[in-house]
Formats: sequence, C-alpha cells, structure tokens
Amino acid sequence: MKFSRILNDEGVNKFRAFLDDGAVTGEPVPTELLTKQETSQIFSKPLDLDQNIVFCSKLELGRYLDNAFEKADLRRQNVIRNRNLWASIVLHWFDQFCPIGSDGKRAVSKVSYSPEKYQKYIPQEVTEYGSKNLHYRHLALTPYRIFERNKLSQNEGRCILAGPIHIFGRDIEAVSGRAEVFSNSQLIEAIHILYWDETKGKLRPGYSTETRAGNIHRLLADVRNQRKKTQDWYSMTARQIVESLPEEFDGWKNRSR
Amino acid sequence: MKIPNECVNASLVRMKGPPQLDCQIDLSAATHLDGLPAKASVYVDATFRSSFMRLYFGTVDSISPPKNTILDDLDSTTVAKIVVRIVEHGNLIAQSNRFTLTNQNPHSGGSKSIIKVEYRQLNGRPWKLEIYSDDTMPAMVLDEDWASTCLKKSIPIQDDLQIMGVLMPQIFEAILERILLVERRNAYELYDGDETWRKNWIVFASQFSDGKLPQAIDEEDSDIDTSHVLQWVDSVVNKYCESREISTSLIDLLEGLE
Repeated sequence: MKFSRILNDEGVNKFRAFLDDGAVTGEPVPTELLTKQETSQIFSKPLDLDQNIVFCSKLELGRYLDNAFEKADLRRQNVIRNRNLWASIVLHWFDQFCPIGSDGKRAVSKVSYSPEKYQKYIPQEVTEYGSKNLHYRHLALTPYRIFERNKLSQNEGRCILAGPIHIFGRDIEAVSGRAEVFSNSQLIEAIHILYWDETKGKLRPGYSTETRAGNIHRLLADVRNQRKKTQDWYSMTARQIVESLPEEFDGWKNRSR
Repeated sequence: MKIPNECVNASLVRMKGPPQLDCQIDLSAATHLDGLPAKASVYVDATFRSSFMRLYFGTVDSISPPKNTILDDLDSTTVAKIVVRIVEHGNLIAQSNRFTLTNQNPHSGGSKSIIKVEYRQLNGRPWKLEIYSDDTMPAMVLDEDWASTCLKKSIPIQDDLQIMGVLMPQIFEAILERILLVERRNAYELYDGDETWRKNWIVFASQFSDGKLPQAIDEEDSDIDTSHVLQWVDSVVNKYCESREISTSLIDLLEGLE
C-alpha cells in the first residue's frame, strides 16, 4: 500500500486524543486519520510502507524506513524535521509500537512534564538557535537515525537496535541522547565488538548491568568523558578504541577476541 | 592544550541550502603551540544536535581548508557548532573552544567579534545601535525585557534568524556610514592599519565589494560630493544581503521552511 498521505496538525491532535483516551483501553487504532481529508495531507513523496509487515527489532524497522525513503528519493535531511510524518508512521503501525497486552490494555508511554507528553509516538519539536528539530526520544525516528548513521558499517548499529520496536531502553537513550556517541560510527562498532555475541546473535548477558565491571553505561559516560580529554575516538578504529580501554573492560575484550 | 579563540576565525557563508563553513586557523598567534608536531592532523569538527561532520584541514605545518566545506551532512541549514582539534595517532594534542555559528551572525564563533551585544532597559524602544568615537566596539543594545522574554522561549535574540535578518543590514549600513561619512576615515588606511573594530568592519565589508574600497572624503571640505561613498555602502549591504539570501530566508522562515 502506498503511504501517500500523512497527518496534518488536526490529525495529530486527534491522534493525541486517541492516546489520551481510547489507546489505553485497547480501542481500535484510528488509522482512518491518515486518509480523511480533514485530518491528513498529501505527502510530497509517496512511500512504500506495508501495513502488514511485522518488525522483530528496531534494526529491521530502521532498515525498512531507510530503504523506503531511499526508494522515494528522500534524504535524511528531508524527513528528520517532519513531526507529522513521524507521528503518521507510528500511527500506521501503532499496534506494534504500542501492543495490546494480555489484559486487553495498552501501556501508553506518557511524560507529563514534557511539552509533548506522548513524545515516544509524536515527536517533540525543539528549537535551537532558530533551527527547528525533533527530539530524539521517538520510537520510529531514532531507530531510523541510528540505522542511517551506521548502515555502511558491518554491524549496522544492531547492538543498539536489537530490541523490539515498542521498547526505548536505557541503551538507546544512552546512545541517541549523546551526540558524541551517536555520531561516532567507530564507537558504535566498538560497542558491538565488546558486547555483541556473534554466535548467539544477541547482546552478551550483563552488558548493561550497572554493578558489572566495564558495562556499557560506564563506557559511554565516565570512561568516555575521561578519555576524550586525551584521546580522539573519531580518528581511531573500533579495535583501537577497544584496546585502549582500561583494565575493567578486560573481561569483555577477552570474550570478543 | 587549548587552542586560543584568536587562532580561529569562522563563519557560515551561505543562507540557502546547506551552510558553507569559512574557517581560518592561524596557530602562529599562540606561542605555547609552537612545539606541536608538524605532521599532526588538524580537524574542524562541525556538529548540530546529533549530526556530525569532520573536515580535514591538513597538518600543523601546512594548514589549509579542504576543497569542499559545505556542511551538507548536518541537520541544520542555519547553525553549526565547531571545534578545532589537533590529533596525532589517536591522541588529542590540542583543542579549541566550541563555537556556535549562525548564518546571519558574522564571526559569531571566531575571534574577531565586530559587534557586542548588551542588554538594558530601553523604555519601550526594542533596540538601538551605539557607536563610540573611541576604540570601544559598537554595541547592539537590546531591551532587557524583550531579550529575557525571548530567552524564556529558548531563543536568544542574537541567535534569532528572523530578528537578526532584519537588524543586521541596518547595523551594517549605519556602522559603515559612521566610519566613512561622519568620521570621514580613510578606508584604505583602516584596511592596512592596526587591529581595531573599524578595521574589522572595513575588512568584512570588502568581502562584498571584490576588495574595492571607496576613496576617502576630504576632512576639511564640507561641500564635497559623498555620493560615491553612499553608493559603495549601499552596494556592500546589498551584496551582503544577497550572499546570505536574507529576504528569501525570512520568507522561508515565515512559511515554516528552513
């Protein structure tokens, strides 16, 4: 099915009203908002977004969106500031972004202190120096951005994008919320080397356990902040970054060899 | 080691589409950097939010910008934050402060500030330009209440593209007229002379006149024709607006485009 219309502002308001009310009780998703004249508008480049596709991970979602944008001749800069597009994408596959639980209800993520309380589904707009952008804490935008940034590397950012699409965990927060991590593909590759188990095709247990030596949060926060005073991780290969890490990472390094 | 602000002079020089970085790095101004390894790499890292581009500016003994300095992989067409880094074998040897550049604020991140911004109670007047007869840099004085309200909305006035797009041509014109018509300074002497705010404005203006400067007006002659200076100033300000596509940008901003 061609995804040729996206929500207009009125449609976004109606989607928000659904999140306020019917979404929690498991009511049907109002996908008609994407086709009605009053709640939608034509999107400049129709996209091929199969409504029946099932995404097993954020990696699959990111790759699928990147492919769809590429086919429609859309660059990253053409899409990443379009709030209504990203809200529409979530609405399109809402049952996957906010699945109904065994009790027939949805756990709708809500942040009451934020200007956009449903920022996981409708991106929050932020203005910096007069330039409008979207906040990273969004279930579709961020997987796309991480994939797009790392698609030319062997791992495609899979260590960060491994989980299901409705979960925005601490790992993805730690990466997408830090520009110097997000933008450094070599560092993402280093995370892959350290914590990804190639034989099992999943992250090694304990990689994000705060009490465990050399966990991912230590790497991305304290150790990185300390190292960046004397090292330039942008000009180092992933392997060089890994080998330069202090002793507390030895266990992970040994497992990765 | 710290690369001092004086060593870096940077601005964004395109108003439409991805910005182009114009960055000059001169390490000779900092004697404590004399011992840097000659073959260490010099990078300018440009970021905006989570987007990043690294530009290679050669080595310490031969600093030169790359052929292409268009920041087309940044997520903003109007703002870039830059840091200069000197690196050898993965070791960070020296680094500058982070400068925020916007495409309507010349030299906003570099060392040669050509105007200062002050906040005062202006009693109903939104802003005024103060130009002093001594060597004190001209000031764009903004009404304190207006500035603080803008700041609450997270946009400092001096970074608001719409407001600065309207103010900068006026400021540019007023300062050039003050230097050349009121003070009757010789533009050529200023250009070749010591570092002062007047020189910096004339050097900045010369970018928009293919380096040509107006003949000085005779200080003694009150009846002299000043039209050639007025025309030069007018042409410089027009070229400045044209190069930064200020009108187009204001229309785009109103229409919600970037």
